[in-house]
Amino acid sequence: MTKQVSLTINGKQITVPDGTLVVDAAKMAGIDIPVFCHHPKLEPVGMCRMCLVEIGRPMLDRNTGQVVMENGQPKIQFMPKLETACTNRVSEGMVVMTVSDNAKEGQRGTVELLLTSHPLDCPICDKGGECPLQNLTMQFGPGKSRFLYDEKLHLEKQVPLGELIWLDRERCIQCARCIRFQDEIAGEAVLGFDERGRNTQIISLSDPGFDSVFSGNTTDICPVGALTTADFRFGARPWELKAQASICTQCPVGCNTTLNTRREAKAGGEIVVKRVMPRQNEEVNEIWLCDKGRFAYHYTENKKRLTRPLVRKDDKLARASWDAAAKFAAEKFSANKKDFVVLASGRLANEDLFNLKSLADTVGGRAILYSDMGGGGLTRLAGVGAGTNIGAMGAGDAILVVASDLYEEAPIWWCARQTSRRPRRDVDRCQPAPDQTGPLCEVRHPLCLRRRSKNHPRL
Amino acid sequence: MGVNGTSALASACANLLKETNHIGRANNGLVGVWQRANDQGAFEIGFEPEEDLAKALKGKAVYIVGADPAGDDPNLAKALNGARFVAVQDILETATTELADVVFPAQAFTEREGTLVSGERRVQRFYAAVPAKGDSKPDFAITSMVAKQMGVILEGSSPSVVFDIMANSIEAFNDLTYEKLAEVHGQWPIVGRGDLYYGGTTYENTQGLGVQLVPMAQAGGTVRIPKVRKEAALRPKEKELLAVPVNKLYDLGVTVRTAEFLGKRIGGTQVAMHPATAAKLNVEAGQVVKVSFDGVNGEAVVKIDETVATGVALLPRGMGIAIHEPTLAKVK
Repeated sequence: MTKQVSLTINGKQITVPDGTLVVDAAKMAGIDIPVFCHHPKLEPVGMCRMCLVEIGRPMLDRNTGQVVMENGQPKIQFMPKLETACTNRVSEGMVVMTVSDNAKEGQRGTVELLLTSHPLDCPICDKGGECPLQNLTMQFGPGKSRFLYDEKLHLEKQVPLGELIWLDRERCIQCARCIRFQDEIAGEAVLGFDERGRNTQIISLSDPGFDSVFSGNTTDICPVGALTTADFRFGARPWELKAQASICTQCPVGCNTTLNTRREAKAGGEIVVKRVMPRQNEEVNEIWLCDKGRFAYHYTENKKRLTRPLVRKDDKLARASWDAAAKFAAEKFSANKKDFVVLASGRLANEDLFNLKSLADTVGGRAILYSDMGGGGLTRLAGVGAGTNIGAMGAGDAILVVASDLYEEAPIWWCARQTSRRPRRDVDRCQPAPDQTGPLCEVRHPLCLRRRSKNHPRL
Repeated sequence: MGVNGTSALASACANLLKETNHIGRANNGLVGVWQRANDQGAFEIGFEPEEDLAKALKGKAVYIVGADPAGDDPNLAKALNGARFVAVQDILETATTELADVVFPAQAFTEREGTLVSGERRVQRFYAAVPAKGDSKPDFAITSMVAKQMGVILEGSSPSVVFDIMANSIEAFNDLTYEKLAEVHGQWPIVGRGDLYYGGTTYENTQGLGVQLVPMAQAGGTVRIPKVRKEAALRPKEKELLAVPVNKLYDLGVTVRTAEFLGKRIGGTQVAMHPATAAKLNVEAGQVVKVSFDGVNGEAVVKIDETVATGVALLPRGMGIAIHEPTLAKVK
């Protein structure tokens, strides 16, 4: 059981696992401390200074090392300056004030400073409506700016980092979430800072630009509209979009997605999918998606979509009614029951496959899976146990990847494997509900991921 | 076509896990990195791949659903041209629909609801987000229509009912329902529209976390793993190379090339080989070579890769050259 620590935030006493960051502890207690550069899945850096709060700790006597008491309570010694909640870990008896006048002044000043160089792009910026800078400015910022508009710094505005992600250098607040994500979570450090001071800007270090299959995730965690996807650029306003849960159908990871749709005149009054966003499922894809899942959904809108049943007449395929087509096929199948074969692929849902199998079985035909890979029956016997979470594995565990290139075949598993390699504290896996899968360091868990044929030369 | 080889490999892996006592618990076991999203579901339901698919199709009445064998492999196109009858059900026009006798238009996953099983055996629901295109119907409904005309009654209106019938007949799915799959619980970190400053613009999960199936080993059943049949390794002759298939994330597969958006990332067909192999063939990086085996011909651009064993050439699948398993090939 991890050591628990008690502390007071805004007068509220809470208990959290030892090692929790103050900003995360506050979040668990329902208190929001504003942040820009902090992300619960990234290492803290304290770069943006938005989470400035007053932190006090029990005063210790220099000579005895004992807590100094005052009126029966530990005497709390506040730091003379504001501290960043994102870089401080909780300690026993800590007192945090997030809405005191000092803290508010610090937060207000930080927002004002960030806005001095930020362009007035809200009307044309894709992030408007789901923009942390907008929201936190309304909540914590000053009402007026003391900065002269004409003296704002101008930088390049439409920079394609690769053909999928666009960068607007003026909007960037140098929080480095994108750089740190690529480095820590994606494991491909293809973004970096260039120049210095206010001219600090993001550049792509790879050729072709932004050469990572996880590039779309940076547009999710960017707190401003600096990084936007070419897919959704100038597409729609977030408040116009309806959200519907879905699953990515491109690889066997089964990432949870959200389809954002809108009825629009441009599509002839039809409801269309405007973008694919991740949906949180910590045990599958956490909050990430790979670019294939994020951008390849357009295949459902291709002009070559089949829309009417067709029947071959005089060696040409001609339109037919559903009844006629179904009857024709049924007659032919019934006449060839002994030679009836169903060939289906894993592009289909369970319900589709089950009906097909039921039909094949009832008629006495064969149900063949269109695939080069066998061995599925073994996963029914020796598959991973219920409760498996690859990303939660850590020191002492082993993942044996046999004849498979996870990066190309199941990118989010590659990412999860990356995550499990990072040294982590238990708190990074904590949940509000008490149903964890157990302590990390004591377990020995090999997991065998396999694919492809036996003669792969890389093994 | 690779089925026997991969099955043997799977047996070997499963044996390793069983003998080291690493099955039957969470975070222990075998995971298949399948070629398609719901291959796991297909296996659960009882579909099996076929080693010699061309032979299995010739002269038969074939009902092809969600597959494009004619477009993937000229040998399979030939087999289908020699089939007695071909009905194809798919969402997009393909080489297979071109040669079909009947074509049924199916709905894409964005237009209907259903469930999929991930490689980790997690059953998850997906929901309909946009209306159906044209007259298309969901795959299970089309099968029900055809079946009805054959005197076989299958549920064709409600996917939830199909799922219930399936859960009733397949042991691993016994406790599952659409309601159970839609259950959620609180997750960390807290994300969602109100918390997008904290975790980003990802959406919170309100419509289902899915449920992982329990493998036989965990449920207390006996796990009997088929013996691995050893086969002699392929040895390339004087003018041959061992062509080994590898996968690319962005390939010419029907769900990627028709997306058009990722077109620039697909690139061309590259054949990777060790510098010594290239020297022996008298080719250099960037040169276009002809690859041929088993009635398949194609062109590829040479890429030098020191991590590839000598005598081996790595060929990507899904890029126009129909390679299914390691095979001896001529490269000029």
